[in-house]
Amino acid sequence: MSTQPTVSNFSIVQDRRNKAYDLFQEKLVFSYNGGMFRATTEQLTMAELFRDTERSFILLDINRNPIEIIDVEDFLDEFRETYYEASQFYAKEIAEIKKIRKPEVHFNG
Amino acid sequence: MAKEKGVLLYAMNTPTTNYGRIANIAALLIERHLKLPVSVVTDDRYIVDIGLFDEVIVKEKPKDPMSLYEDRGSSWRNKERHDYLSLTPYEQTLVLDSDYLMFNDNLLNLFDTVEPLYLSFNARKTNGDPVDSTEQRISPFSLDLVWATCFYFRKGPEATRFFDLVEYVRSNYAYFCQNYELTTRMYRNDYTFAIAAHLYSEYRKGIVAPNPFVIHTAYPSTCIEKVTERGLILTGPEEVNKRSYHRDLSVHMLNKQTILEHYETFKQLFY
Repeated sequence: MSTQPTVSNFSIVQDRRNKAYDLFQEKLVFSYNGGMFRATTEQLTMAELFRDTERSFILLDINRNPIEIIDVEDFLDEFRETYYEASQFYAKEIAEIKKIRKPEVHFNG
Repeated sequence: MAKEKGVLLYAMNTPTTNYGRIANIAALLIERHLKLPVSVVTDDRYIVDIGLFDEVIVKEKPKDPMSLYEDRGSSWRNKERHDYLSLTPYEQTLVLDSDYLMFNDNLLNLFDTVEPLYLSFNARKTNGDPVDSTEQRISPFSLDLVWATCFYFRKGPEATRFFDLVEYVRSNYAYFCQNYELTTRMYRNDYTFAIAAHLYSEYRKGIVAPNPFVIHTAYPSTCIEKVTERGLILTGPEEVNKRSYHRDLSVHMLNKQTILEHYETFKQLFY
């Protein structure tokens, strides 16, 4: 029995997964108060750290610009909205990709 | 008084390519996704659909026959594309090539940030592979290429300085070709921008903000099979399994003829 991968839809599935991930990464970018941010856990942690202090704080954007975040709640709203939309898009794409996967044809049997 | 935000396109017809029509398609897509006014710089106002544009800026036809370039079956004029600052009617301008087909609103993020200038350093093929090595750098041992396909600027001293340098490099192109060891003498805005960015940054890296959105480039061998409201189905040897659907993805289509073949479909879907 050969275990050589045959012509299947594997490459199509992989291509769609890669594209979906690329788009997910692009959709995570948002601009706020003159800075451009990516909705990552690092940014979220920093914002959460200052959430209850009622102080403004400085966050570095993706171009290393120091951006003052005056209203932490407002920043977190923007962050949440961006992350929610991007992740919903990605989850939907992956669910669709799962439907078209045919792992049984990956190998000659 | 200048308007606040907008997009600027260039459309100069060549004997082989109707850039006016391509600009019409680009304007429709930009209007749909960015909802910003679009102006076009052209040498003939009758080649574009005036109703689609906020302003049609007419520039004198270049007299220099050497300004027309041909490669891989298409031709273009780009040597006279340098006066962005004086021509744009907007305070904040996104300049795009007409063959950049937009299917998302990501580039809106470039507006209203503290950065006065965004240049595109990153491009990839539509199948996710890196672009050819000749398009990663301006020459094998020189600078990273800057894609003049898509860039943003806000009027001010930084943009003035940068475009002065672009003009300086353009006017002394033969010298810079030698200095930066370019292997071709063919004029490319991408090379001019790369050299100008290098001079602007005082020979260092990382001064000009990079556009965080990758330019997905479809090579001339790639054709559009179908246009949908959300993207393009592309066919060609570069595509995965020779056929691939690019949903929500903006694509820089180097094959101009295939865009023109779908002109009516674009109009029906996005007008």
